[in-house]
Amino acid sequence: MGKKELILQKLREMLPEGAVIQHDAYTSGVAFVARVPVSGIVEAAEVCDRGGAYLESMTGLDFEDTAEIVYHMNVYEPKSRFSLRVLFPHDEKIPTLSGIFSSAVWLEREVREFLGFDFLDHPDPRNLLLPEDADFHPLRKTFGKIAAYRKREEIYA
Amino acid sequence: MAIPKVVPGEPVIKLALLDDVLNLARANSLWPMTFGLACCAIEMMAAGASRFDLDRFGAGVFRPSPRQSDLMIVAGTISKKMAPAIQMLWDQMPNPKWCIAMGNCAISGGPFEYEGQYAIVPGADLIVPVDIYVPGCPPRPEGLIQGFLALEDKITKGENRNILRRFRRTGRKS
Repeated sequence: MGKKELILQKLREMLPEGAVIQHDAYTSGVAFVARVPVSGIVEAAEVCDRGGAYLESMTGLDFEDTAEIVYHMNVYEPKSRFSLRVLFPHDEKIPTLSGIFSSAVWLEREVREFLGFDFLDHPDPRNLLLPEDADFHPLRKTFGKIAAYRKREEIYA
Repeated sequence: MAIPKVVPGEPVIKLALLDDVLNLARANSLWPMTFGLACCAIEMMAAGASRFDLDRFGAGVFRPSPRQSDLMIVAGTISKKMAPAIQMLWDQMPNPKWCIAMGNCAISGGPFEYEGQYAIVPGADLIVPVDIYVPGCPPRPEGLIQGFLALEDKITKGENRNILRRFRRTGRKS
């Protein structure tokens, strides 16, 4: 059994029924998707870290009814990228993963400045790419010309 | 005896001939700064390499420090985050110094300038004084070389006064 399967097994034990969806054909670029609650993201990341996975990238999504962060994890084995998805209200603070993955510091800075999602106890909450005094969040759907600002289920059928 | 009028900012004693000689030397040994921002810098490197060979014009000595260079080539998109660094590099260069804005991004923001954009400075002339504009996206090395020749002519105040110019336009009466 590969590292990915071990992590999958542990996440299945940790999360409620139906929270982990497997994509065996790897058509969407991930082996499985785990829907994690905000309170459980640090624990889930620790499971991934102990299982040998690393944080590959982080991205945020802005919907009318909810905000979402996708953590892409990977293992140095073929076809083993997987993602953790966290849904939360726009004004909720997300626990930082920088205590587990050092690379999360920059990724979270980018998500914070571009989408305005705040991270709890982030060690370095400065802007990474935008000017220091920028007080706007360009990747929010309400920035500039507003188009395609929809609810999550309208986009993910 | 008529007292010659002193214009503020102008030197009292003008050494016209010496200035001409110095300008000749300056124009034919431009030292650009090793400094690129985006894809235009790739063309700038090509212009400096053996095929296009900026050394033919005495301009191939890319200096790694702004304190040794007298030409800044703004080669690429200027993001708002980068603009203070460019201004500082320009301020660190000793006089006399010149600036070439290379490519559409450095001239006017290029494809990144649109209504509501938040990321870039649309034009190098907004932050540093620009002498020569070289259009293109990116300009070919030949285009940059023409920019260099135009700058040389500007420094010597005319192509005909640049007696050391390596290449002359043909079919032009001087």
